[in-house]
Amino acid sequence: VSTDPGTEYPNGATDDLPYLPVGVEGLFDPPLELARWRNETPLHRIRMAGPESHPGWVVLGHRVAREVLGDPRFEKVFTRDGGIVLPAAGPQAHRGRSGAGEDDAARERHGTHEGDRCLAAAVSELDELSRSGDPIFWNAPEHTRLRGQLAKFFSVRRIRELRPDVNAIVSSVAARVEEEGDPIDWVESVAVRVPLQTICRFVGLTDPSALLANTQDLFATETSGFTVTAEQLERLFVEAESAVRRASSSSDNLIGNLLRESNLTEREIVGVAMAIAQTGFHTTVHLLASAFFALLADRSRWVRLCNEPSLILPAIEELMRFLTISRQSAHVRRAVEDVEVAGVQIKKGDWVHVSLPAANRDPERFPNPDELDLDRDASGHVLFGFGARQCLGQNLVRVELDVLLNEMTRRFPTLRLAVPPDEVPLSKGAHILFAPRTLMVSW
Amino acid sequence: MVARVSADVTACIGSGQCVLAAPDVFDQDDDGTVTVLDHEPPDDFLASVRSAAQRCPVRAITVDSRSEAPERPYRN
Repeated sequence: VSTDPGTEYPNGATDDLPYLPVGVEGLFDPPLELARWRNETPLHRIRMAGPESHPGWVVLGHRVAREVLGDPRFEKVFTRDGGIVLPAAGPQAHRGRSGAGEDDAARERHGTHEGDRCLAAAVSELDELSRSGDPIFWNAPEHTRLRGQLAKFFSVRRIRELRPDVNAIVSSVAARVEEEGDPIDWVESVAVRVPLQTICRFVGLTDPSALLANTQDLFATETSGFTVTAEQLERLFVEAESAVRRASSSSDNLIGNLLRESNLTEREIVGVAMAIAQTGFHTTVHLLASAFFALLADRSRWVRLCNEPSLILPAIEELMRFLTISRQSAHVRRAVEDVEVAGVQIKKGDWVHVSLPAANRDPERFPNPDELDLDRDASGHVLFGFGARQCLGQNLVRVELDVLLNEMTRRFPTLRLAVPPDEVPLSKGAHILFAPRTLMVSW
Repeated sequence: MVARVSADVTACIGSGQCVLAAPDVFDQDDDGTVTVLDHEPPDDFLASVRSAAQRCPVRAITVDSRSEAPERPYRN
């Protein structure tokens, strides 16, 4: 762990460097400049966001993205208060359909991931010895140690054991939707309910309202795609703490597993439970909501999945690649020594943002990349990042999408958007974490 | 020609991508760490094994295609 995770930057001035282009083009696409830049070079100079904005790099190509994310000579950067650094902001940041007002610009320039900052604060208050109980805020070797203790609970086999529970959750959610009737907001009634119940079941929380009191809280702010209020965080903390207290050695969930099979302290387990519940919930809501939006925006895709359920598994990977909901969060790195990447000299201390949407639309790896092609083998996309920090929960998300798409194509083959696709409102933070804010559907 | 598959268990972070790509060749042990079920899988599995190697986030999987006799030169 760096003792000072702050934003000092040794190398050069910003001069006339551009900010990272952000925004949403058309219905789903990342900014066109990213593709234009990528055609010229796999790494482009940018001016980073942050309290002391300074020169940096954005990685645009798929191969180079994997190279940087997989290279321990690039360490993760955090703000002084434990937040995740976002690369973009500034005057050019707000364009397209997710455009926001000037008032938010100053706040976003600080690039703090609000929810994670609160989480870090709460957890480090809890444990004064540890900088944070949330592994997201650690670098090697602490990150490696904790990740190693968590990984086994996310293995393909362990996650598959959860499948009957996910089946039951999805089935009850579907039944409730049928009962409520159409038109209905698919975000609120499906994309939120399924991950909320699934992550609570997985972690071992019993009160879902500890994670979310009001669905629109998820989409109302620009800073990170979601904001967690101090109150909400306190509720989650209380719930996680009591879940750890009431867990027994036979508890069949993450908290029980960690108590039984890890050497983490109870305090650390509370922090881990909060972190997994938060990150596993918010991101999955955005992915599920976006996946249905993309499938229904051109109904022929929905019809194809209804007729060919065997397409669902590959379609999930393609939806993940095409949508790349994580448009800029969490992938800022700092070179700990001089590194040459793709023939470019990166100096020690240089900041590098890896653009996941640019990498996942790299035509060298995915021909005709701007096409959502359900017949494509999109495995190898970097939605979940790459390297030692690749998303811990990715296999859980795959199971949720698999069960959900199988069940919903079977039960709602006539599902369709109740509004034209270009009138579907996007989340205020859609240029950071993409999602429709509501998705009115009928069947 | 035989493809020799190996996995670096010290690099493995247990993401399970190899198991998703090639379940006949890879598994995860109780700690989530990769185990190779078949070090010399039949040619039919080669595409999925290469996909597994490609998807591994820490590049822990090596697929070595070479002639069986070690003294012969590598074939690319």
